[in-house]
Amino acid sequence: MADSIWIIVTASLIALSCALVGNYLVLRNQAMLGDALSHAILPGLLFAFLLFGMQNTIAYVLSCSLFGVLSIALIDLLKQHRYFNDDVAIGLSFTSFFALGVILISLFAGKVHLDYDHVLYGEIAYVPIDVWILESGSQIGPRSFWIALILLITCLLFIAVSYRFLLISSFSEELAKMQKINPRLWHYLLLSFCSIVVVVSFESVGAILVVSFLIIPSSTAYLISKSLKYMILYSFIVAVGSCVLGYFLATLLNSSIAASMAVVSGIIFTLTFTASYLRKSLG
Amino acid sequence: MIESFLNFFSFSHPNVVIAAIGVSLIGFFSGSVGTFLVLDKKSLLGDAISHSLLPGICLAFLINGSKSPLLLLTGAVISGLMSTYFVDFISNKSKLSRDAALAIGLSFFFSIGIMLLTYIQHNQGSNQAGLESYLFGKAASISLEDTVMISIAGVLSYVSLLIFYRQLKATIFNRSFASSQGISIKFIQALLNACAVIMIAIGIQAVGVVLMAALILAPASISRFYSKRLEKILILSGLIGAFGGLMGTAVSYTLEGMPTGPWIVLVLFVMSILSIVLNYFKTKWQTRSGL
Repeated sequence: MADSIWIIVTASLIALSCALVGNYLVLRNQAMLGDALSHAILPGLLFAFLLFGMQNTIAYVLSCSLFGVLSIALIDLLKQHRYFNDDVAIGLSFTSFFALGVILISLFAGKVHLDYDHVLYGEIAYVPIDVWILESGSQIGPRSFWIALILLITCLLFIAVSYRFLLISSFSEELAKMQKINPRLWHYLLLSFCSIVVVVSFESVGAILVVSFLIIPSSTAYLISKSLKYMILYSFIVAVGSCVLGYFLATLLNSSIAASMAVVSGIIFTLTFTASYLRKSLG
Repeated sequence: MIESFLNFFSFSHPNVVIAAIGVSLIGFFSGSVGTFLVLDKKSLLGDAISHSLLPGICLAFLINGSKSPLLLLTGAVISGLMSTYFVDFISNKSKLSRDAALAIGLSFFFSIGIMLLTYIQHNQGSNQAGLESYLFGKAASISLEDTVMISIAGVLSYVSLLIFYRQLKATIFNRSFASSQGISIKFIQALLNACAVIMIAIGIQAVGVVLMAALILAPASISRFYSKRLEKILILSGLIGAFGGLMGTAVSYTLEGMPTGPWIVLVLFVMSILSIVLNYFKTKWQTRSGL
């Protein structure tokens, strides 16, 4: 029982961080950049493993975020060319980074303990096994839990500090420039931060399901809210709700926990969408 | 290493020949269908479709219990089509952007797929082995039957696109003009979506779910550098896709245990970068000689 609580709590913390930055991606029409990031960090993961070993969390976060930012820079570079629209730039950039990552995995298959399953849907079921033991010998709960908690606190601090800047630069670049806020700077800051969130979540939920944690709760909230504050609040409710319900769905079907949580959030989105659509068309 | 790379091009092993032909055909047809998607500014729809095939594949397997390729293909096509409607409906009927709708469709369908896949893995023993190969693709295992299936599906979608070529062209370049000519935009869009879904469903066995997007959008974006006429772009995209497929298969034949998909993607990526550089020098040279 204690194990399942650790899993649900850790997943919820991750989902909260994802939903928080995801709100901004949805507002800025950059949802697919989240998808691109979640794929593009793969080579960074490999480099961190090969150069610094498995357990070095800081090296791992830095190296992956570096590749995340590189892929965003490549997208911005390609986008400037008149033959590439946004979609093509995003698609070309993240598939190449991901391809590089898969090739590196195959090249160093013997040296790196990382299999395709892990990349795709993470290992949140193993959260309770990896307990953090202090030097004094006392156990203070799973390592992933603490990492997820630190991530959420950092996210909340980042958004709290930059709330006004992000709000203005997300809604109007002109207004931002008038107030001496550099929209490009905030674009990069937000996406670098987003790649840190993706990297940390990656370990638990895998590359592709991160996207649903980033985009689905915030899109659901976007449908029913009229201000950013309420949007963040609603996205938090959807995020935690889908983690709790998803866990029970997973135990029911004996299927991947992270995937079931993502499915529940998709169902919540579909229900919300249908309700708001019916309300609009009926009256 | 170079020796075995050259050895590949002597085409002495029948299995290698079949795999090479199969993958090149996939590249050719995906590149051609992708041309219309890219010019219609829907390049990332390919990414959403390829992720959405997984639940259909798993459901078809669960219902029937066999891995007959035709059955899995049918399942894949149905769930792929459903996802295109899902994405279009959300982006048309709500204030969410198309971008968000794509991300939602992609991740929702894919998570259903992963949920079903893990359900099958945990509950049905070893009978399911091989379903995961759809995730990363296995070009080397393409058999003669697969190649036949690729050709039939490819030729069918290619021909149907050619039949409606004029209408497609009008729709892509000017929607209001097209509907003033009495062309049903809805039908043309549905046709294009259906062809894309079929090609992607065929293609993912070679390059896998994640990298299929590149095979759809890269050839067309490369060929835009070399021509402004749709006919030429269409043919060139097909050839570039086929070339990428061939090179990818050659590399994965040379380096043992290498997946094919990533190498196809890297070949296409290098080609796009080269095209950008070439184009840069070309315009520079033209402006200089113009002065």
